[in-house]
Amino acid sequence: MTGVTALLAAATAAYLLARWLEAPALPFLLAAGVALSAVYPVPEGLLEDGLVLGVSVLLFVAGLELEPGRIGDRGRAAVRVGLVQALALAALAFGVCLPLGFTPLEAGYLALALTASSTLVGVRILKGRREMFEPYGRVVLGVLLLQDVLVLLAIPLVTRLGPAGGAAVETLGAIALLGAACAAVRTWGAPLLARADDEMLILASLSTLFLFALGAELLGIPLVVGAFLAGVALARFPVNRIVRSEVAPIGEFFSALFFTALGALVRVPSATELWQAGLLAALVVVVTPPLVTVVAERSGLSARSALDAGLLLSQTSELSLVIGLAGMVQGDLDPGVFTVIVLVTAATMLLTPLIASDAVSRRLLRLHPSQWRTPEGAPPAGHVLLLGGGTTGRTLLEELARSEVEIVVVDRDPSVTARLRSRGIRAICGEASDPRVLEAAGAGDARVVISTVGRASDSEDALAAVGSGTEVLVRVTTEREARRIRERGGTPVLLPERAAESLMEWYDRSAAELDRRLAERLESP
Amino acid sequence: MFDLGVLRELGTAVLGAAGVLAVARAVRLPPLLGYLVAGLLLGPVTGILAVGESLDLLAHLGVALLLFLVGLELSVDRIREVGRTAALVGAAQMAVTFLLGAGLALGLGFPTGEALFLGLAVTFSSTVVVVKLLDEAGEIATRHGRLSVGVLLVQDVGVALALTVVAGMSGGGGEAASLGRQLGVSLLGLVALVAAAAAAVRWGLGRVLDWLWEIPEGAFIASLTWSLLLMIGAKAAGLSVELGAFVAGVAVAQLPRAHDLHRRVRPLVDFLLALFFVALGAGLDLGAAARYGGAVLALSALVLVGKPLLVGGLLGAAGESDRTGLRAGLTLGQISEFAFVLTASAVAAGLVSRDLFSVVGAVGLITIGVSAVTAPLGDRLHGLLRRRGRGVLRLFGGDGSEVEAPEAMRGHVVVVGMNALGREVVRSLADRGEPVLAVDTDPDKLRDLPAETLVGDVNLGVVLEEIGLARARLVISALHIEDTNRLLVHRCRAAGVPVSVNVFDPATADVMRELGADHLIHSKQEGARRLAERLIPAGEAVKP
Repeated sequence: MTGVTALLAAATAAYLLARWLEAPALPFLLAAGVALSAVYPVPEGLLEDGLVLGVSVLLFVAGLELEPGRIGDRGRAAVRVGLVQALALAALAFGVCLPLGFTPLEAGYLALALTASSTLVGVRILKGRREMFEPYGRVVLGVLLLQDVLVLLAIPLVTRLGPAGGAAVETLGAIALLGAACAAVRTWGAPLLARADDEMLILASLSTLFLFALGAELLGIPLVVGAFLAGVALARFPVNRIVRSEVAPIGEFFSALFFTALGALVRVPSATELWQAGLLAALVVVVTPPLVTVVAERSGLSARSALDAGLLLSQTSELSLVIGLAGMVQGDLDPGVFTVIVLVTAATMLLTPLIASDAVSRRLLRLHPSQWRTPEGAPPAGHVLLLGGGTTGRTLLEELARSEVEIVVVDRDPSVTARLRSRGIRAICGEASDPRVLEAAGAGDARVVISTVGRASDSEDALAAVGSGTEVLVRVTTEREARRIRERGGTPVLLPERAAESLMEWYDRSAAELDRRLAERLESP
Repeated sequence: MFDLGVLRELGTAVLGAAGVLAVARAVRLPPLLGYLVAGLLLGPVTGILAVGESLDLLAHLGVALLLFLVGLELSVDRIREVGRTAALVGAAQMAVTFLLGAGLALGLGFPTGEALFLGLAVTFSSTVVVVKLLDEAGEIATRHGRLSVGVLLVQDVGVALALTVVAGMSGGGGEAASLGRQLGVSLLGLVALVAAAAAAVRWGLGRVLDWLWEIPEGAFIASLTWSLLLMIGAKAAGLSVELGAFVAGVAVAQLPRAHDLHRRVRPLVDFLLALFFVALGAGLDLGAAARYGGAVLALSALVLVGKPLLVGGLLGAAGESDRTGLRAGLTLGQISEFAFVLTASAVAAGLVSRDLFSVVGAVGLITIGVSAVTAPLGDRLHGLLRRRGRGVLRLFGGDGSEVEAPEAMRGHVVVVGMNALGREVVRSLADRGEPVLAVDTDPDKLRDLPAETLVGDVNLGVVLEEIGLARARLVISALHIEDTNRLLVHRCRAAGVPVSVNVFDPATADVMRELGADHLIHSKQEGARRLAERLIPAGEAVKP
């Protein structure tokens, strides 16, 4: 009990720090493990159990997410971005590692460790921004899911390359066999679970996990592959969402144990290891954003979204840690290489929130080739000026197209403005908060300015730049934003009002129907 | 590779538990009995499962965390309300049961030392069984639930004392002075434990947890740590770890998110407890128990019939209704897993013979198994007695009246997600005088709403039960979380409840319609129309 308490107490300290610094928790969990092992010798049996159970549950939960429907219609873009990023980084990492003095096998592990980006970090940031279901959010999600699969497929192959590995044919055969079992459970087993009660659901899904994990052991392939396939076997809507919610606390408990226990395995790095880790981390952070931006933009994302995706993907994954662990357990990696992998992961994860910020994204967008230049001709006058051409902006354009008013659109995204221009709409590419842009768009002489830009802070800047004299309507989503806009002389328009009104219209219209259905349900036993 | 022993051990237990649970559900037997049977099958019968260190650790963690859950559900006020009755009834019950049990054992021919010991073993009821049964029936907060838990806590103090005595007898040869000192340490420990918890609450434990809630799993892990720390403290003071966990739970029960925390801890506890009961069944020696068949049956009968009558009678004497007395009595009709611990340490100290462990084990298995079946029948039995056997009910002191009527919302509109849209919808519905239930995971967002509120995550089946989904007139989700919306629409559809959902991304409208949403809120497009409405008059006004 003392050992578990020590690990969880370390994890608590890590979470408190992460909350305070508003950073991803994972690097702090690892650091807490390192710190703990320095002051308290965690019993080895507990450490091992924590790692085995933790990695199983972690991969199981990762497998549960593998539901292609969530990516929406962005599958192609996700596949392209995911493959290019994974292959390019793996190749670069392999090429960099060999001259650094790693053996080819070690370089292989390191390359694999740099292949994937972190689902834990990416999803958390997307959720925080409420952009999980924006187009670029879906691409990022798709990329992460794809890379998980790639890495999981590659792990048994890399571990096979070492002296302790088995024959390739057997490994592939074993994976195929377990994959078939996975498909069978997915088809026939998973739907049964949707009807189970909570307690049964937990036990049945964990039974699936243990069956596949033990099956993998029996077939001689890594445990992580079995655990992942168990998750995939249940990754069908609605079972996966239900299992995900009910198993979440068990997953959180074992994940906290896993990452702190993993940290306890890390030894204090030497200068060489620090330097090597720094180089590899720099490789990830420098190469990923431009690479992803280019591929994502070519796959149909707007420049700004593509850039956001690139910044969001610039870290290594929690699976990198699993790869390092697998290599060490297999005897292919010495603790030094493992330490390098842990350092790279912790460093890139810590950097992500700093890199994937609004400020960085704005600054980098200025480097975009099709950036702002003064539009030809005199600034317009007497027009409606629309700042932001997203979903709201587009619907608004359709509505306004029926009236006679002339419309000018300002958007920071070159691909958006290009599309608008092709439809014969005057569009200017640039920051809505930039006075030069607003001047070129004739903000002072407009009848009215409407701001539908994504973030409220951008609207506030625009409001200051337009100045008084012109009415500025600003789309807001919360009452607090509305207050701030009013204080700055703008007219806030609370979007939900209209949506609520139209819902209530439907509600009043359907009152009789709702009553009938309620009565039916309450009468039937 | 790693040693995967832990996977094999846990895997066997979980698979066994799941298999037997499926059967138990089909024939409507309580899960707890199923787990015990699974343990018996895997352990003594087939010998597949040998309980090792890791399984044992997780199982006991489960028991302790269960008490943390109980504490979470019982705030200080609720305990105070039943405290005096529970203390009196608990103390009287322990004394009488001990004497009856010891007497019966003497009559059955056990030597005096062992008879006293058996008396002690049948005295205590099983906290983990009782709470699990109450929890399954959703009755922890009812009067008989709180009384049962109260009696159990009094018993826990008794257990702590008994354990101290046994440890003292085996260690120092039973010198009165050292025994007294150890008892003193335990009592001081109890006071220190409560004081530590009170101090932590005073110095902002709640605020820290609340602040950390932005990382929900962090707050979850932090509260587990808090519980574990008090458990270790309790153990150091010679108290049971369960008592420590309970105090930890009560300390955070006042938080606005206590209920949400409860829901988070519960699946983990369910899982660990299944392991606990399987391990319990697997540890039994059937052969030795069979040799003492008569004694086992007699003692079991005392626990199954005598204890409920005693508890019920005492509660009746204390002024509780017969229904409460009967239900609490039935719930407490089994022996505690502490009896095993107690016996095991006594056997190890050479105070009693090895066979006694098998006797206690068998009595435990029988009484736990039977009470798992009978306790949920309390209400039905009460109804039967009211009609056919008022004389029996008089034993419980009451007159057979009083039936609590359950209160539940029906015909209400559930609004999920208190963003601006959700709040607006709640206000509009409230203006029309509709009964509204507003749901969000963040208690801050539920402030100042003209509606009933509930903190919770609608992804969880429990929360859907709590919002009374089956009786709702309509469910509206204003959430911007597509995964949650999909599951909610699916579940509403399955329950036949009309549902309206926010499609903030027009691309997913088809998905929602296919899942069976009755109405879609196109929040972004509607918003744009509102802008256009405001704009065109404004534009026309300036038009030359």
